[in-house]
Amino acid sequence: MNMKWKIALLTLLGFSTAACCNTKKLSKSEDAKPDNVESETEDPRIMLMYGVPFPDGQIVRPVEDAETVKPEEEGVPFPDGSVAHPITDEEAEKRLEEIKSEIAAKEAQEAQKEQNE
Amino acid sequence: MGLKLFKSVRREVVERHSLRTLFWECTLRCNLRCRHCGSDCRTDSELRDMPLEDFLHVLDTEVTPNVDPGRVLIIFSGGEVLVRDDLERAGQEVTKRGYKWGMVTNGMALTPKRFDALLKAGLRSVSVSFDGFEPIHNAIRQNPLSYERALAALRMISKSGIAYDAITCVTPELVPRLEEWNELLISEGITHWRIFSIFPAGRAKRDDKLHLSASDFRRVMEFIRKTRLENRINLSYACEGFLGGYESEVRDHFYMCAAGVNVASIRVNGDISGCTSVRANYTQGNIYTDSFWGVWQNRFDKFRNREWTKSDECKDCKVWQFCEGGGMHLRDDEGKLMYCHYRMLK
Repeated sequence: MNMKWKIALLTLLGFSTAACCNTKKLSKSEDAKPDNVESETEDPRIMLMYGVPFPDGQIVRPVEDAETVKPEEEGVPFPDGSVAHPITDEEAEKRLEEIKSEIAAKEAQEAQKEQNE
Repeated sequence: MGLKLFKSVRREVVERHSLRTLFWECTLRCNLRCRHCGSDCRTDSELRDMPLEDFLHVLDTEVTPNVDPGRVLIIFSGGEVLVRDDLERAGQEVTKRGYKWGMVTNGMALTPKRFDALLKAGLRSVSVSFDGFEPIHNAIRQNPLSYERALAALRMISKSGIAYDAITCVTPELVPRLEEWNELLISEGITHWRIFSIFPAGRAKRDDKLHLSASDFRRVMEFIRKTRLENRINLSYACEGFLGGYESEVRDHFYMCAAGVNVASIRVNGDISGCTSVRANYTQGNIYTDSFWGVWQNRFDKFRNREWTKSDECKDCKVWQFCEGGGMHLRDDEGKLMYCHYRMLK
């Protein structure tokens, strides 16, 4: 059974892996690529761990000469305004504790506010 | 039957090994220091960002002559990609060459102005890490502003019409609140959502509190299955590992590790590997010393023939024929399996 049939069968079985496979034959105008360029059957699209979804359809907006927008601060933006620097594990632990305290304080404040209301 | 059919489809896909996704790890710098980071990124990485020209040189001389660019998705990944101030130019350049491109971001530095500039540069797809309610997300991300920035980014992206999803790394704290989290995402107009769980690599390896128990893991699978049946949000589990009876229930496709089969990555130091989630040393070459296309065509044996994984606990496993030893990112430097999703569900 060739791949096309297997994919068709998978589609019939209701698996969208198959549905997202494209067995489109290239038209003559698209055939202009050299022989070594792969073509024809598209493989199943696997949703990756950290990858992004595969876009379909046309380009949403035309490509323009995009203005480069620099990150807000020089180097790496950091919310407390500090200059970017390598963080040691000790600093990270300290920072985590600070965040936990901030969150706890915020929650206590909100609880107090609710109580007052 | 579906699994068996897919197995033979996979065999053909491996034989063809058409490049469909190319990760460019353009930086290892990051503006966060997440507890679960698989890359162990730091604010100021010891490794310099790869110059855009180096990446474009590989595209022009090695990739473009051998592929149809319209069928290859380039993913800018990090680190945090938005710390690079030439991302717009990078996007423009790959778009000009006919490639679609997307990025993975934590959303911290995605201002409306920047987002607009990236769209104009051809941005087609974004994934935003969004790990749970504010206290959970901020504690994992170790930054008090990270939740509101990620949410703001998702609100902006979801209205733009490009492909996107929110990626949630489910931790034990979130498991009992997944229903609520689902409602929050839906109420925010988020339509695409991907879940994954921690695997023991990078910083996550040292943080036991992030790991799900077997019962939590099953609960997550049940939640995904139910949510997909409801069909109010497009939810999938990532490509992590083989899930036994949950295959076809929690994803749109059967399990397959596409690393080195359809997916390649160019790391920040020029190393050529499978997908960027593979942190152990399965480097196949380096763009500064090898021909990228030569490496893609002639190496990657360990990725394409996984017979070598049939050892230890996988040796006599009855589902090996379907999972082929799990994702490459779940193997350590010695090839040992660090985590088995199927075992978690047994």
